[in-house]
This record gives sequence, C-alpha cells and structure tokens, in this order.
Amino acid sequence: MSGIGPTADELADRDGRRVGFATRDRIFLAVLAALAAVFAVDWFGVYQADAHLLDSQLRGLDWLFLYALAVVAFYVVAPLAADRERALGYWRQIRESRWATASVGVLVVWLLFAIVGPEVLDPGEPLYGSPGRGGVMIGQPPIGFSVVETAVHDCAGRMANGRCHGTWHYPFGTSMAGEDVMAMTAIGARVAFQIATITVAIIVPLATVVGTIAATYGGKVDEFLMRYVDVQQSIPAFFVIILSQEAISYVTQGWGGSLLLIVVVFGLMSWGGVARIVRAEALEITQRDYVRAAKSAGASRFDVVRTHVVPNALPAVLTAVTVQIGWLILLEATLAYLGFFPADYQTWGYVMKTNMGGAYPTTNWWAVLYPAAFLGLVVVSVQVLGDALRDVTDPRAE
Amino acid sequence: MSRKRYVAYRLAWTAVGAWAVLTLIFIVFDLVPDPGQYNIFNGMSAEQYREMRGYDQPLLQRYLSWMVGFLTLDLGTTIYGNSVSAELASAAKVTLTYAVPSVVLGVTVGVGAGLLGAVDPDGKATRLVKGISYVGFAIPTFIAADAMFFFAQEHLQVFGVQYDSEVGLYTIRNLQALLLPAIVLTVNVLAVQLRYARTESTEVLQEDFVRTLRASGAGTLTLVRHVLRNVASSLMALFVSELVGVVFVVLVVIEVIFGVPGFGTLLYDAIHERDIGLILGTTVLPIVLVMVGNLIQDVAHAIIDPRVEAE
Repeated sequence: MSGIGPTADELADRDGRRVGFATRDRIFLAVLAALAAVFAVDWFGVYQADAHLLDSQLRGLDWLFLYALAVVAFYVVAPLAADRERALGYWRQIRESRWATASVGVLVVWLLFAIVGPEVLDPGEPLYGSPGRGGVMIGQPPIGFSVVETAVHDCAGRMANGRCHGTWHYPFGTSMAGEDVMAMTAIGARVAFQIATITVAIIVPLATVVGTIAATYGGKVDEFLMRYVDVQQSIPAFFVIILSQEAISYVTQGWGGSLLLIVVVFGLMSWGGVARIVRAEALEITQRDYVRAAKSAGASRFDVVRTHVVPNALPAVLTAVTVQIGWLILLEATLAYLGFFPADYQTWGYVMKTNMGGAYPTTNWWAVLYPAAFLGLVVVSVQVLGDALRDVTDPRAE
Repeated sequence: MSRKRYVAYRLAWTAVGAWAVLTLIFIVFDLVPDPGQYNIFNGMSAEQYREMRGYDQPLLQRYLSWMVGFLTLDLGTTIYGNSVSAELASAAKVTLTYAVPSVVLGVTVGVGAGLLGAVDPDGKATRLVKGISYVGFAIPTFIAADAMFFFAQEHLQVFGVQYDSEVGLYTIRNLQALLLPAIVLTVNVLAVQLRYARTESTEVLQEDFVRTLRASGAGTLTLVRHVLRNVASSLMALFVSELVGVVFVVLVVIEVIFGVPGFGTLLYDAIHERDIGLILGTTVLPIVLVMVGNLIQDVAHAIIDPRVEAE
C-alpha cells in the first residue's frame, strides 16, 4: 500500500537534498500573517475589514474559523490532493467497509447542510398567520406526525379528525418560540462544523509540535513535556470551562455561556493524549532505515522532522482527533443543557435546551429529537470514520 | 532510576502540579469580583459576607488559608454560611453509593468486551458491542437519561424513579431511585473503556508472543489472559485520565435529571446560585483527587511492572 513506502519527496531526501520549509509551509505562513494583519486592523478599529470585504460582522469564533480553514486546507486537503494516489488508496480501503462508507456519506451531508442550509432556510421566515418570534407559525408538528388541534394556535398543514398534521413547509416542525426547526438544525450543523474544524486546528499543531519536540530532543525536555501532559490530563476540561466561564461572567456580570471560551479551553486542555500519540509515532519513525539514511546524508534535525516525522505521523494524529471532535460536540450540548448555552450562537445544544421544558419532558419533542438525531449521527460517523482511517493508515493494524 | 527514586520523583511532580493548579485558580478568583457579596437572600450584609469569605484579610493571608484549606479539607463556607466540606461529604456519600458500582461494572464489562472484540474482530458479538459503544457514546447523556425517565414513568408506570430526600439514602425507595442513574453511568463508562480496550489490545495482538501463543494452540481465553496482562497498565492510565472527563460530566447531568442530591446536583446548584465557595470546592477538590489518583496508579504500576526499574 502507498501509505507504507517512501514518497517521492522522501526518496529525493535520501540523496541528501536539503528541504527546510517547503513551499506549502511558506504560503501557509504568508496566509496566516495576512489573516493576522486583517484581524489586527479590524480589532483595533482601524479598518472594518470584515464589513468591507465579506459584508458581515465577524466575531471571535469566526476569525478562529478562518484560521482553522487555512490549517485544514494546507495540511489536510492540499497533501491529499497533491498525493492523489495515496488519497485514492485510502478511499478504496474505506469503501471496503459498509459502515465507513456510510459515515463518509453522513459527514458529506453534514458539510452540505452546514454550508447550504442556513443560506436557503430561514429560521424566522415571515408568514401570514400566527407568527412566533421570527414570524414562523408556533408549535407545528413535523412531517409525518400530527398533534391534537388544541395544541396549536393555527395549523399550517392539513387538519383532519381534530388533529393538525405536519406540512412540507416545515419538515421538522416549528418550535414554541416560532422557529423553523429544520433551519435551526442547519444553523446548528454550521456551528458544529465550525467548532469541529477549530478544535482540529488547535489540537493538531499543538500536539504535533509538543510530540515531535519531546521525541527528537528526548532526555529532560521529553520528561518535562510528558509530565506536564500528565498534569494537564488529570484536569477535566469540563471543570476548567465552568471555572473560566464563572470567572469571566463575574467580571462582565453576565449570564449564559460563551462558545468561543468553550472551544478554546477545550482545545487547549485536550491535546495531551494526541501529543503522546505523536511522540510514540515520531520515536518509531526516526528509527526507520530511510530516516537514518537521510540523517547520515546530512539532513538536519528539522529536515527530518519536517519531511519524515510530521507527514507520517499525521494520519495517527487525525485519527486521535476524531474522538475529540465527537466529545466536544457532545460537551457543548451538555453544557447548554446545564445552562451554559451561548446567546450568540444557535448550537444544537441551544436548540435542544430551549425546547425542553413545558409539560414533561417536552411539549414539542421534534424540536429536541431532530437536532439530537443529527448530533448523534455526526458523532457516530466521526468515530466510525476515525476508526476506519486508523485501520487504513496504520500499517501495524491488519 | 531505582524504584524508590522513581516514586519520590512522581510524588514531587504531583505536588508541584497540584500547587500550580491551586495557585493559578487562587490568582484568577482573587482578581475577579465575587457576586456573592451582593446577594440579598442569605441574610448577610456585604461586609459580613466579605468577612466570612475572608476578603478583608491581606493577600498573603488569603493565599495561605486557601492552600492550607485544601490540605486540611477545610474548604470555607457556602453563601448560606454552611461548611463546604460538610456539604461535599454528604453529597459524595450519595454519589459514591451508585457511582462506584457503575464504574466498576462499566470498566470490567468494557475491558472484557473490548478484549474479545480485538481477539475476534469479525464476530457477531464484537459487532454488537462495537455498535453499543458507538451509540452509547454518541447519544447526549441528558437525552438518554430523560428518555429513560419518561419511559419508566409513562410506559412502565413506575413512579418511584426520582430520589426522595425525605427518606434516608440506604432505603429500598432511594436505592431503587439510584438504579436508573447507575445504568446511564455504566453505559457511558462502558462505551469509553471498550473503545480504548479494543485499540490497545489490537496493538498487543500484533506482537510476537501472541503469534507464538496462537501457534502453540492456545485457546481464546488463554490469549485474552495474556493480552490483558499486557494492556492492564496502559488501560489503568487511561482509566484515570480519559475517564474522569466523562464521569464528572455524566454525574452532573444524571443527578440533575433524576434529582439525586449528590455531587453533581451540588455543583449545578452552586453554579446557578453563583456560590463561588461551593463551585471551587466541587471542582478543585476532584481535580486534586484525580492527580492523587494518577500518582497512586503510577506507583502501583512501578510496583507491579518490573520494566519500570529498567528504564
């Protein structure tokens, strides 16, 4: 399989070619610098870059998402596109497992829903009749279900036998606050995609840097870094999020949660396990023959890390991160349930939380179950795909 | 490194880590204003409250009493003037009553199933277990717990599912009420543990001694026994670090839903009442306890595994 043998770059390096930063790294750093500059002028109010260039007001999370997109584009999409044979090899092996293929399907649907959904659907589409907060009819049942006539003020769909039936106008029904549940789910999908990408873009670079430094320098450096990871891993991110949320809201005297805080704290607290994996991979890779050959041909420590260790450790890293993605999406929903729901981002957790209550357990179950089903499907798919990718990219597992 | 030196070394690291965490949290919460002083419901004036929380003392004094408080488990008072340690102790009693059996059961079944799954990757039982672990992990705990609550009440017509604080903990009524939370916690622990057990065992199964075992005609059980010995230490490490994250989150959610007056409810109420003394007690104490747990696990590892001395 192509994942095991040396790539063209590695073969070239065997002949003693010096590499240093590759062109891709240079372009990435340039993009990063440009992004940082735009952010700085925007932040200090010199020039409203986001309003003029993108016609929207970017918030902290959106800026982080732009950074995350750059990371994913340069270090996940670009390498796969450049090495099409390897990418096709992965895909062929994923195709062998029905479940892995299905999970790719779910993730593609998620992506499309996240990109297109919020543009097409409007949670507050105005409609003549009994408008809720956003002008949408209140408490409509989803398609295929019905509620008793008295449960809704006005029925958008067909009335039969004293029951109000769901309509294709609101396939997932509407909430008690007058929001189209499908549109809310789409917005939740977009936010979930954003925070998943940001998590990857925080955890992967941190874990890669720490893991490779620990492996290449060894000795005291290695010991210190790994003991630090020990300490960090014994602190649950959940508690740190709660404590920092409290500290911040004592200062701002506000209630509710901040999604930016949840994502950043989670990212900064969760790279320990991944760094361990990178370290183990790096230790193993540096023992391989071609790396030793490169070293004796005069490749510097940095060259070895850049050309051999990082590209070869990346599959293991991405696999390890999939668990964290699922866990973050779940944690966000749970924090929303516990009252830390962000006021400015309508996450799946927010939709579920705001629609629970009334008669026990909820008066409009569809506004809780549809986002929950989406969330569950995405989390399962991310995990199944992660496991499948590990089997594909790790030559040790047969 | 000799065994004794290794243990002393790890002890030093734990002490430094705990000190750093406690200091950092002290600094942060000393800088931010405490909303408790503006609370008009606890019958105290702002001055009385500040005096009770010790805000009138100099910085060094506050820092010392904060650190000594954690050493002596004297964690100060809640906004109502009760002892945080006493509240934590009574809550911990309830939580531990159902959490310990659930975690033990979840870990045992999870590790066993994970091992079997690794030994026989294409078996029907393996697929089932894999499916359970994926789904068990992916359903948000609050949805699962709420659904179970609803199902028990509406369809099974069982009405004693919610904890009754009027009667004691060790009564049939309340032990029954702890059953559903215990099931939810078990499934969550199982899902996480199974995943890691499967991954770790798959790696051990690639090793040479397994091939030798298989070639010499060893049965599945013998194989499992050998693999278990080899993955035990890394699974222990995972148990302490990865699991705590899951367990604490699940505890809070299920206790809120099932009305169990345990550790999770204490934290939830503390957050909603903005009771900083209680919030710090219920979060920082577990963090320190997990660190100590990590240390114990490391020391146990050093005693059991002869390879530590060789390193």
